[in-house]
Order: sequence, then C-alpha cells, then structure tokens
Amino acid sequence: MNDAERNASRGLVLLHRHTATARTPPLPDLPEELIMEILLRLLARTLVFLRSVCTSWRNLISSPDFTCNHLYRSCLRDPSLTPPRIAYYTHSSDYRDLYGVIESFSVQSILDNPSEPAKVDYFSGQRYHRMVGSCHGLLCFFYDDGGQNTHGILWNPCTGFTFQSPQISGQATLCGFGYDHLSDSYKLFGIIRKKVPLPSGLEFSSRIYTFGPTSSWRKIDDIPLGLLGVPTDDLFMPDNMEGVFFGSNRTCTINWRSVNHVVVYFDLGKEIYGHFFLPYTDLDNYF
Amino acid sequence: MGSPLKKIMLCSSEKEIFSVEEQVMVQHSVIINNMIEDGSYNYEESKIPLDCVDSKTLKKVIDYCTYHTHHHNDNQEDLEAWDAQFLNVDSNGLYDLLMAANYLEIRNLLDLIYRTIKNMIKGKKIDEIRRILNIKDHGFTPEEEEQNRKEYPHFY
Repeated sequence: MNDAERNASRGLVLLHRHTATARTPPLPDLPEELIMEILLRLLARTLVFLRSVCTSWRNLISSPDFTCNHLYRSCLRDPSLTPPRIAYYTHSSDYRDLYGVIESFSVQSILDNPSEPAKVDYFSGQRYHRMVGSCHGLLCFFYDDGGQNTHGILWNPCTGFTFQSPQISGQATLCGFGYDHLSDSYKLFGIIRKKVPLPSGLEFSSRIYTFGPTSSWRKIDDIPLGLLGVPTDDLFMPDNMEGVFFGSNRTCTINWRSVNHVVVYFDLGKEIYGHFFLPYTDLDNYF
Repeated sequence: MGSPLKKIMLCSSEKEIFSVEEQVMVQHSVIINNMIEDGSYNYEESKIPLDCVDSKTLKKVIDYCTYHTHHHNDNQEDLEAWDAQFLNVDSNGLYDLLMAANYLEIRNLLDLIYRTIKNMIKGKKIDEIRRILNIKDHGFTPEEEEQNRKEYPHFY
C-alpha cells in the first residue's frame, strides 16, 4: 500500500464505519456495468470468493473481457503482475515431489528491481503437467496421471485459482490453447492419443474443450494428414517436437518444418484445420 | 474551458433551477463539458434538464464539484477527509449520488463512490455482501449453493 492509498483508506474508515457495519438498509439494485466498476477495483484473490455471491457476479468475474480489463488495472497498481511472465518447470524443495511444479514470475518486476527477488507463484499437484499456452495472464496446461487420463487446467498465477476441465481418457500429443473472441471464451485443443485393443493399438482423435461450467470435450474433424502426405506415426509420438501450436488471439498455428513445408493451422473460432505451403528454400538440408 | 464568471442553469427532476459557475461543471462533468463545447448550450435561455437527478442529490453533486474546483491545490489528506465527510450519507443517498455521477459522467466522484462501495464489501462474508447490495436472488441452484457453502464455509 502506498501513501496515497493509506491516506485514502484512512479517510474512508470513517465512512466505512458509518455505512457498512451498522445495520443500514441495503443499496438499491445496481446496474451490472456499475457492479463491474466496483469489482474491477478489488484484488484478484478477493474476486475468487466473490464468484459465490450470485450467478451474475460469477459470470461477470469469469468472463474473458473482465479478466483482461482486471489484469490491466491490477498491473497499473502492482507492476509485479505485469506480463510478460516467465513460466517454467521445476521441483519443489519442500518434499519429495516426483511430479514437479510449475512456477511463474513477471519479467517486469525483475527489470524494475534487479536487486530484489521476484515474487514467484507456483502450481503443484500429484500429477504430471505439461504447459500448452497462455493468454490474458492465464496459463493453460495438461495434467495427466501418466498416460491414461488427462485434464486441461487453466491457472491464474495471481490468484492461485484454477479451473479444471472434465477428464478425458488418453494423452494429449499436439495441442494448443487460445482465446476465441467470437465466442468470448478460452479454448483448449488437442490431438488425444488413446490405447485401444490390437491390431491398431493406438487411436488418435482431435478434441476441443471450451472452458466453462457446463462444457465438455467435443470431437472435431481430424487433421487432413493423408491429404498432405504427412506420416502420422512419428508426428503423434509425445516426444516428437516437430510441431508446436502457438496460441494467438484467434488461431492456433502448428508448423511442421520437416514435412513437405506444410504449415497446418487450427482456427479456434471456426474449429477447423487449415494449411498452406511454405516456399522451398536451400535450407532444406540444414534441418 | 469556460470563463469563470459565466453561469449555467441546471434543472432537477423537481424542476428546481440551480445556477452554477460554468467552470465548475465543465471541469468535472464530461457531459456538460461536451454540451458547452459543441455550442448546444444557450446562456440566455438554456436550462440543462436532469430528469433523473433530484434536487437534494443535485445540490450535493454541485457541492462536490464546487469544492474540488476551488480546493484542488489542498493537500491530499484534507481533500480525502472532506470526501469522507461528503459521502457520509445513507445507502439511498449513496445510490442517488452514484446514479447522478454516472449520468453526468463525473469521473472523480464516480471513482470515489466505487471505492466507497468496494470498501463496504471488502472483508465481508458473502451473506453480508448480498444484504448490503440487496441481492435477493443469487441464482444458484440449491445444490450449487450447498456445494459453495461446503467448499468455503468461512466465506459465509
């Protein structure tokens, strides 16, 4: 709290005592846009529990638009929240943790105060995590029990609040995360590899999940690999690093550099794959 | 920026006329500033009708704008003490001021009221917040409400 804030709160103590602790009559109903202005002034960790006040507050606080606006305001108040943030895998020093931890901190806070240790937020749990992408200060990752079942998790490092998708059986191979402004929602997309009885042994399917209270994983049309002459077997191995989906405002794009110069992208708004070809270059042998 | 001597007329919902220094309102209200700037206000004849602001509230709003125009060089602590005293009103008074400030787009007054309401709910339990903000229907199903209460018992 800086001096101005401290003084402000001192000035308001008088008022605060007068209007809120006595059993005064309640305020008449406030329009939603005014409620939003009040909520935008509260700390993120307070908002986590204010979601339980009523459904309209819950929907408001959970909306991407509000999150974005709140992040912007919070950063003005506290530079340690400012993006870009660095997120990385690490191990907890406190206990024998086989699964590792994800930690995150703001780059800005280090640049501003190089002599002070940065405030690090962390996520840990009894499973393996794999980061997929981030958007509006939220980090999305897959959380799996070693190959059988997977959840998608959306984590807000500033509040510690997480939202978990329903479980899906199998393991995510290629995946991407982004914000779809058309439907105003966060979407997680992945090609899920699942063990099935022989002869095939493995089955791949494209699934998409829209983060929200009543949402579930949906199956979508598969990637047109045959059409592009891409061998499926290697691409879907979990340790194959040929392609990465980049989260952006609307599209997740995958770039397979080794396969016929094909760039396959996934449109989060329309929920379809698309592709284009890169020009041939002399650098082919370099890779 | 209007001349300090010029006066403008504001008309409350009870049709009571308030004469205010133009500069006071122009500096604080975005709406009135726009009206004066685009020339739609006639100093001889115009009265700005504020049909959704009653006289009592309008008088408070004018007090606020006048004080902040003439005391903007005061130290921060004094201004805040004045603001706190100014907002020493009951819930209905606070609500009326909020609506008036919102209508007239008086940004610093809006911000002051938002902060005040924020402080009214900060640190409160959920049942108390519902009471303060008059939320009668929370909209959760009984199962969801029970689940919330079970999950965060100390919030209720």
